[in-house]
Amino acid sequence: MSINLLVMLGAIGLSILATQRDKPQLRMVGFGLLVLLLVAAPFLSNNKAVLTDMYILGIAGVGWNVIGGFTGYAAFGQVAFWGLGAYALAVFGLEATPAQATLGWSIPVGFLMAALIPALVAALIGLPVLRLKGHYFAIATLGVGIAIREIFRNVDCIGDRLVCLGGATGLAFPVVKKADRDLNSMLQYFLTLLVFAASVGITFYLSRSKFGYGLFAIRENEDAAAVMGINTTWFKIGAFSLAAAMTGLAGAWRGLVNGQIEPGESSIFDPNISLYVIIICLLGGVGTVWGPFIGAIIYAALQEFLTSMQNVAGFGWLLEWKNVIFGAIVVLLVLFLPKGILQLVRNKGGFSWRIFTRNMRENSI
Amino acid sequence: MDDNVIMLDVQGATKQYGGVTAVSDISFVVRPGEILGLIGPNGAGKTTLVNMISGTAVPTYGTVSFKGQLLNGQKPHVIGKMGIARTFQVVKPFQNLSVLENVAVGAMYGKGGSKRSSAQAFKRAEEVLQMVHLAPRRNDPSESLSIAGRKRLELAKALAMDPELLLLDEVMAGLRGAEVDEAMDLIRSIHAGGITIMIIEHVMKVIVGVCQRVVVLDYGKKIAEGTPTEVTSNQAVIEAYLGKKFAKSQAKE
Amino acid sequence: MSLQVLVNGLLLGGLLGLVGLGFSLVWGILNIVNLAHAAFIMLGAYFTYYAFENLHLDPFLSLPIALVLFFGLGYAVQKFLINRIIRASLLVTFLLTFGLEILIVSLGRVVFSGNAVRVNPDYGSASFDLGDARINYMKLAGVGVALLLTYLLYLFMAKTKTGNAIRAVSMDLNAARLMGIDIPHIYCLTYAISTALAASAGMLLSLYLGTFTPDSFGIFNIRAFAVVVLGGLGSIPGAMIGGLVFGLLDQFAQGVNIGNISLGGWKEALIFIALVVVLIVRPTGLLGKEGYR
Repeated sequence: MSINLLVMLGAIGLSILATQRDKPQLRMVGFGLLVLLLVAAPFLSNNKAVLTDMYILGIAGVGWNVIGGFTGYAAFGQVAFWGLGAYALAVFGLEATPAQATLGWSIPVGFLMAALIPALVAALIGLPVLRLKGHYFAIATLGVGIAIREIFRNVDCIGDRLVCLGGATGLAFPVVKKADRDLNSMLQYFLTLLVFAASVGITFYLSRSKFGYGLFAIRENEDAAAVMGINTTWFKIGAFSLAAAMTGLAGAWRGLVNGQIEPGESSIFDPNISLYVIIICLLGGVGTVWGPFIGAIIYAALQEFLTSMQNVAGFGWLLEWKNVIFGAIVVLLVLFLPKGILQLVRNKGGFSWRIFTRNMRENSI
Repeated sequence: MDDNVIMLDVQGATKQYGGVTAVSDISFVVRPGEILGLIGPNGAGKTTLVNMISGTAVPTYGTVSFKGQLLNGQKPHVIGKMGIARTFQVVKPFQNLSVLENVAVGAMYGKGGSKRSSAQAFKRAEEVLQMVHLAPRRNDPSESLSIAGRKRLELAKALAMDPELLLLDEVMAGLRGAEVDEAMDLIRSIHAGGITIMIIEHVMKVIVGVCQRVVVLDYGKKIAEGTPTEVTSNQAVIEAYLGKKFAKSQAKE
Repeated sequence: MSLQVLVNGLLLGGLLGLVGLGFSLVWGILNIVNLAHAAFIMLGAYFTYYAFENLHLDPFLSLPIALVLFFGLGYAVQKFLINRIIRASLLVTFLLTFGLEILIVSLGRVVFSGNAVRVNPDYGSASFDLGDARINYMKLAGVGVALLLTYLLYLFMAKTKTGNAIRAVSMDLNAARLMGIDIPHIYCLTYAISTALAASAGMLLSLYLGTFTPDSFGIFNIRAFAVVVLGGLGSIPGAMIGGLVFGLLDQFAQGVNIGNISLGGWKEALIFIALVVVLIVRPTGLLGKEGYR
């Protein structure tokens, strides 16, 4: 069993302890050990990149939770902001070379833009799109995801080679300013962990704030929320923009870690990103603060487990079957545990197998 | 009560959906400090009228103004912040929030909301729950409440907004005898706290019991206005409620 | 627009209409956006392929068998899976069908392998000339089949008792229940019809695409969206018209240049920007109405 898998399983267990509402002491111990474990992990692991990737996807998952979980608007095109973030970092953060024209200010400015530009685009798109409800909103966002990818695929240079995006070939990241070259894997690990933790922290704060309660009210009943004095238009746009900012940051990290971005389906505009971020929330618990955190780790642990099993004699077939298993897990999850693992560990009467059958009966016709 | 001061002024309000006229040329006023009743049989246009006041529907013709400010075309949230709170006939609790959280949302965003922090809003919500006798259920999920409980929650959510004018859309519907009396007491105590109330009902007993003045609607038109005694003896009202035949037989006796 | 572009657009559009038809049916009546639709299209294409390669069965002759088999498959999927979560939130139903899509397509990759295959009957390349345009007989027959199935579905919904029951369910669920309609059964029937239509679209696409792999069909989910949104949810002729409009736009954009920018590259972007705009401006689509007809 790989060290990463052990770390992930440990983190899942400890975060479950940390979510036990009724036992404050247990919570503190669980939380403390969790922090220790995640700080120690990169020194134990021989493949930190897997954990870094887990945090990156987790950040986007936390972002989706703000619009999809808190506000109840099932956005299915978050990859648009993921890709925008990656391009924003490239354009503002990368030094120009003869091959590619970028602004090359600095990496920190690049990251700032990777949050700001997606947020701004989300606000502009959200103004009309957030007036749609249900399936129509979901499909419109799906369409936005594809449209933005196609725009990047077609646009090469803007304003007489001021900025070039490379069209269908995209941009490469290798030429980073010298001062930033030390952004090595250890630093990447801790910075992504920090952003991940901060985004969970933001949603924790949000869940207790007036703004957060406004979002909950919109999710539960938009008409009732409006007559209570909530400006639903701006609240929804705020939530969508915040989600986009987090997703943009995550996408920027993915671009930086990958070393290059291209507007293809197998790269920074992989349409499955839109779905992974939702699966993460679903695994943990949609609309809860800890849900996307635990969900991201469970998701990564599943991946890691299947990957490590491949090397075990007799389990080589798992490589081929990985996605089949993934699909089966999604199906079983929505059938039996649509409220995520937090429903199990927070159930008042403790764990019971009946939770599964009750969930299914509740939604069955 | 000053008869010359007007809080809510409805002038010629008309609402058409496609070719159907739901409410036709209705005018009345609500004065500060009073309890006005709005009654009428099912389908008389009562809820449409409430929707026009609270901003969820825009009048096709006519005007609605509150303390001199025109409400036509204002967004519901602006009207909520101006000091008009309403309940919904079909109750709309925030299902996945607790009873206390439901009420706290009202305290965060109503007229008094902007000056309250989240913690202060929760404190205010506690007070309101005491008032409507839901305090023991504060941490229960709102969907676990009975019909009567949900109606009181609906009222609490509106009250927490610190409104000047409270529109109660059939808060008695579905309640049993003793529950109706409790609810009437509650409405009287809210009124005693200085809130102007417009109460929409089709149960005559409630109107007679608590209202000072009554407006009667039938088929989208205003057919009578006056004190409860005046209105209940009005020929047109009796016809609307009990049918023409019954009214005629009454008149002969 | 040259005659050839018009012909190509109609040949593609007819198939897209069929793709959208089953998708629209499930969406309109079950209120479920069925992301597994493309997976059934894929299975239909491979069924055609194996029937042709192993049993030497002509694609147009294996189609009736496919319709029956996939009707049964769809009925089972609805009965044992989708009916179990039909009352859950939109997100849950969306994700169930997405999970099915991943499951079936990845299973397809394992079982059928990722190598490209083709269904190539002798008459595959035969064509005739109409003015300047060259028309392939097989593709023309494909559109004929698509139009025939659309018409049959229209007749079924309008004329039969079961069809009327399905429409009643889509208009007013409670009233339908009070009339004694077996709702779960109606849902299963609806999904079964949709799955059979998906399989027939798969058969026709296997001929249209030339070569294909299990991954060639995922794109048809999003195209089905566009077709349904363009034509209007809940309209059988709407789905076909949406498909034809999509097909024409697609083929038209292929060859157009504005200045030195070729519209072909912008095709997909334009289609989805149009999709979003139509959703916002006219969410009921070009022909959408209440209920199903």
